[in-house]
Amino acid sequence: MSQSDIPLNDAEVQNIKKIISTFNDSSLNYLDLELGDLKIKIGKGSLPAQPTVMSPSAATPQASSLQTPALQAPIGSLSSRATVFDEAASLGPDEVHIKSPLVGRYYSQSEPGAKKYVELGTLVMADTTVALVEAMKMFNAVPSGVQGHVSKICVTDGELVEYGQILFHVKVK
Amino acid sequence: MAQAIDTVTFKRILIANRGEIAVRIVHACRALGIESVLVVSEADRTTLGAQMADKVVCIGPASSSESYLKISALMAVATGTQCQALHPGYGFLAESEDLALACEEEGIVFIGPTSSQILSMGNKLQARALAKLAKVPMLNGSEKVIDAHHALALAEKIGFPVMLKAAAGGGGKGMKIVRSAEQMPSLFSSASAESRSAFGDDTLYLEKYISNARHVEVQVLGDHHGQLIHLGERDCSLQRRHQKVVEESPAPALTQTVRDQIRTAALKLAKAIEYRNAGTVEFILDGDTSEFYFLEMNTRIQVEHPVSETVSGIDLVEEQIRIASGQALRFRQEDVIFRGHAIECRINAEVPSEGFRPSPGLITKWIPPTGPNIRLDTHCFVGYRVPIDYDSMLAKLIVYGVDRLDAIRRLKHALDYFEIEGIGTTLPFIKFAITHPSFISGEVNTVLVDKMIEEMALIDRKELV
Repeated sequence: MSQSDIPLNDAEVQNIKKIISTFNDSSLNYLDLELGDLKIKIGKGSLPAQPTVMSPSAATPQASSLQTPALQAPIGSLSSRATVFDEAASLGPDEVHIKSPLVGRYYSQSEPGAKKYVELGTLVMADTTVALVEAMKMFNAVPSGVQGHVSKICVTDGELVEYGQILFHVKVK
Repeated sequence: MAQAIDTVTFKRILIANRGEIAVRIVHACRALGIESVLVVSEADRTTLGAQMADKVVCIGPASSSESYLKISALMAVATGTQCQALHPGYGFLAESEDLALACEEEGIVFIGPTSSQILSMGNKLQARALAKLAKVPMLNGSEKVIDAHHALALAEKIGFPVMLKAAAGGGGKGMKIVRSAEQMPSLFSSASAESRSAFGDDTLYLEKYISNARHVEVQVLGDHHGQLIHLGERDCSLQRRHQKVVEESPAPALTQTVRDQIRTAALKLAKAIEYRNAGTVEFILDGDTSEFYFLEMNTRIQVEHPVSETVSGIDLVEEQIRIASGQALRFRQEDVIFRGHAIECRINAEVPSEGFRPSPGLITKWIPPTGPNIRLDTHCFVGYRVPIDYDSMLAKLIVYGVDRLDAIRRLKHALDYFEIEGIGTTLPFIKFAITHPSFISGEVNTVLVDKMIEEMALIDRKELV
């Protein structure tokens, strides 16, 4: 039950710091690194809010792994309490919404470094994939559903999006 | 007994449910200083639970198969909001080994038993086999029956009447009373069809049918360190269509010997599967002989848990969370002191005089009963619109009395000034039921509610004339 099962030595802490700073200076949004029994997942954007350092899996005894919660410190604070989407709000003339068809993590590109599906001004057709939403390691392509130009991007990469959350505004012709 | 709050290591819990139990779990989180994240469907954005939780995430449309029953959505929210544990409540995915497994794989603590314990009790034939091994009394019954012909041969050996039951069963689906050999072919095919459509599995088995049966169940709590205790038994004999209507603890009209035996039997079964967290072992008690038989085990918190909380003084949901976080049970069996009598009744949005038809809609008046020894677990309030998409339960009214009659008197008083307008409710029937002579005398069984409904309809007709 204690947090003492995160026995990182100073050298390891220094190495992790180095990885984080290199990551910060890079154009990557997300990094999932495994070095021996050390696993690091780092993301930019709102969620996860800060780097999450997983404890080395070998340090967690097998027997207790199911019995006790593996504490992953630190846990980011909760963002806004609840969201009720104001449908009409901020929609300009001839604008429509593209909403997330499921709850999950939003990605603007197929993989780090790849071209973004859409940017401001991109012309989309009804069947154009505009985003990926990931739930349980399954990536779901979000089709535009409308034809027009992307006029606003309402979400940031890596963010948890709700069912029905507005992802984009599209100016239809 | 008291332990510092900070020994519960969860910072944040995901609540994968709705209605009154979501509110109940938020209360437990708050008492422990834990943040709560509540998932809601589009229809539930404005519920009381959504107003109380620290964070709310919409996971899908009103339809539960697209929201509350979607494991991928729950896991996305649990990981995305960095929850360390998940409370499934009751109903929905509370007894889904797949959800427990998904949690185990994602490193999120499932507040309940292990996926294999859920699985072992979920299949009724397997549960029967385990109960037999644990030497828990069981109804004379069969293994899997192959067809109506096979069922008939077995039924003649057991002796009519018999009950056809679904192995994957629950909630009375796929369950048929067969009183004679002639009835077997048609009831066999309807039971297997029902079972197939409800559970995707048409495996049936047979059990001896008890006509004067009481439903008695034992609340157990087990921790991760091999400790196991019971929190007494509940009588839930008052049922309509296999849905409990009134529940109480302790069970009336049991001798101390039978009471002790039934509690011991429940612990034996729980011990046999090294059960952990809160669970309930259900028994059928023959009202004529006082013999009792294992029915099934529910591997979750139950709707009627407040009556056990009331007579034991133990907050079951809080203990569930403590156990899941790895804490040892704070009570030994001898520390659990039972006091007085508690009764719970469920108030549903249904119209008793119209065949209990569902009555969703806007609540325009809501004056809940208050006062000493009265507890109301609910998610309703004035201005709340009861959606058509979920079950009809509005509230659970729980009262405490120094003895059973005191509790009944207090319950009647509380029901008398509970006012709900805008929708139809079962309040009139509940009032009728708890003042019925058979209930007051404690002579309850599982067919009493049907008798009460007939009597009430008769009185209504007379009043019309």
